[in-house]
Amino acid sequence: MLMTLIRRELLDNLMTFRFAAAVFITLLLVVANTIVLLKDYEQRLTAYNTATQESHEKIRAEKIYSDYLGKLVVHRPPNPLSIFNLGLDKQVGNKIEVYHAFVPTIWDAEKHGADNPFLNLFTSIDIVLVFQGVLSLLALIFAYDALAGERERGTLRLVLTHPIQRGYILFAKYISAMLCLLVPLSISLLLSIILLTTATTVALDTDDFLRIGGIVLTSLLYVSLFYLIGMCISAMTRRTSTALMLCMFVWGVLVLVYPNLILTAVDIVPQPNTQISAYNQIKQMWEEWDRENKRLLRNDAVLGPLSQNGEGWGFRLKGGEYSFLRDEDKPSILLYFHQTGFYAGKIKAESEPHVPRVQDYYRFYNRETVNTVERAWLVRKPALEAIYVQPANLGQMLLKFSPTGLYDAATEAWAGTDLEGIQDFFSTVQRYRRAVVDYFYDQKIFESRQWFAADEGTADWEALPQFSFHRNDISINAKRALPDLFLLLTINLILFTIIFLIFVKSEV
Amino acid sequence: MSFIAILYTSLFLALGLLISARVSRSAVSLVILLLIWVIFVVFVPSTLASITGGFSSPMSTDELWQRRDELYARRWERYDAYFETPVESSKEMQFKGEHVIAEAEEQERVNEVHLVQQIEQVKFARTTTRISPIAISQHLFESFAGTGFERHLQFLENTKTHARQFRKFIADTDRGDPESSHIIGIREGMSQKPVSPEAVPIFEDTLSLRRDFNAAVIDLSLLTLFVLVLLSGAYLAFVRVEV
Repeated sequence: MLMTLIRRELLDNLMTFRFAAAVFITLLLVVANTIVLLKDYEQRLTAYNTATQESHEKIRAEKIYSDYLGKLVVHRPPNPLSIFNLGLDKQVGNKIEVYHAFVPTIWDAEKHGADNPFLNLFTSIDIVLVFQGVLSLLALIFAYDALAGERERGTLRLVLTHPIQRGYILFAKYISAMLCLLVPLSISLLLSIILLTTATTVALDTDDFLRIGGIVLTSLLYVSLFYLIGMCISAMTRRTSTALMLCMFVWGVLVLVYPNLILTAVDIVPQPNTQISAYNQIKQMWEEWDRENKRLLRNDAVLGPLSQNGEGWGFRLKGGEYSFLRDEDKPSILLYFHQTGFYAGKIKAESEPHVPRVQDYYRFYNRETVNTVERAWLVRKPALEAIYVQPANLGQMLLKFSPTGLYDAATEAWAGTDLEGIQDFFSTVQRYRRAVVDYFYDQKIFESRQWFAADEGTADWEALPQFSFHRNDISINAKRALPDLFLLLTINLILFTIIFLIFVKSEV
Repeated sequence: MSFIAILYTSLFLALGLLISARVSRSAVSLVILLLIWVIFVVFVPSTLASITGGFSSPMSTDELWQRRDELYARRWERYDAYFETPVESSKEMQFKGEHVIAEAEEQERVNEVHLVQQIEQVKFARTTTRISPIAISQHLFESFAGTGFERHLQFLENTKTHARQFRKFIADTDRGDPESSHIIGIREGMSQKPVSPEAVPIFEDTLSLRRDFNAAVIDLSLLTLFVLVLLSGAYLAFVRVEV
């Protein structure tokens, strides 16, 4: 009996204009957007490859180690799954300097090979966004007359004259509608996967296909949720027109109004006062270090005395080409560091006796710099989290009250374009910075002659630890997506139970 | 702006009437209207704009820097070559001044080419989106609120005008000093007399209402045309409908 009911419902749905429209709209939007996103991905990949190559060449052109500031740069490759959900992949910077005098974070990153900035006038639409808006709308259009329509036409009374359980009717309607909605979803996804796999620039591995599987599963639960919302409204109302109006209202609130409202609300929530106090603490640390450094220079016969304003350097080392003092004063990202450099292409013979003292000084200077950076990081990290991460997490949590927010968060987690996914890259950069610093310590590079002079051998960049970044394996993505997926499933089950209870108790 | 809002609402009302008059079942009418809405709201303003934007590929930022670096290197090669042989002090200063000006002009030219290509790409993409009344309305609202692309172009033009005025001011001030060598671009060749801060031209980001209006006229006419065509269509469809 159940099969007969499903077949009947399926035929009813397949023969409708709305089914044809659903297939047409979804295919048009998904395929067109896949082509656009694929092209965009290829451009970003080319920019990444060019930037990586340039950085590689730039660092190798340097003769002394201290000149690696601004040259040792690592780049974040674009995520091929960003075609499904762009998330933060394009918004966050993808180029970051690695340097012993500061800990790199997501907020210090810049963008390489930026394309035409005016094109930002046109919003980017990814596949998930199409499903989010269009498939949810189509699910409601399939559902609004599922029960109210039959009740209005009197066919429901006719069906119930047969010995059929009401639960079977509901289940048959649900299964058939979901099968119909699965058609545009699966065909469009299949086409976009074909487009992706035929593109020479996109290399998808088994884990990527599993991640896409996760996105499909989440999409199904999301569409099912909207279908059940529509069915619930249909079960509660007697007229299809009322059901339709309510469905449109709910769609507008859940998909358009609520997510934008939350994002605006999070934006206007007053920021904690952490920024100022943390910045002052960091500044104090560096000023303390600066005083210590100047005191040492003032009393040193070789390195001192300092110039009149106390800011310059008085190295008695002839042959130097330039020296500089640099402060990075950026309260917005709580970055504050001192850097000094002295480049001596060839040290003159008369200065040779002073070289060991300068080397000693650089050992002290760089070690103290790294230590101060580590201490400042202990203040900077919680402050950055309070300023940036906590409001983002609050927004994410509030968005989970809407199916759209849940769907977006889960698909971002599968694609690895969520905040955690992007943070993985910056955690790898931080580990890489640590490896570089350790290498400098182990090889005594900070106190080496090559730190400031290139006359007795140049810096060996080939021996420097190499940076490599690989996306996490699928288990991490699944671990991040599963809570939202579970929540979507639970809401689906609760809604189905509610509809069942309403339908069983309702009079036909 | 209220007028645009009224026109915009009338457009959808007319579209609804037209579809409703042509279709016998309300469900089909609703689905068709949603289909049109999705295409005009979601597809045309973003996806179509991105597709058409892809037809032209302006110089990328990397290419721009590469070209600038090439020009810079070539210019400095010429500079070094000039000083390979001893040069008179007066000629040296003259050459240095010419070098600075020529380098600035070259860099400015290549920047201008880059900017023009970017602007053309966006203009073309925006023109294609005009098939959607939603995009037209957006352009209109932007024009009247003074927040759109045209406004940004005006700002760019104002900055160029200011740069020209500033250069002219420097040249005129220098010309007025008989002690100056009148070699613009290098410190030693220019007037050393102090300049009153009040005399320095001030940047003014003036808004041209006429330009805003001219930009809006085409969009306004198009939107009105859309409304009229749809209303006439709805009327004709209703006249022919069999009740």
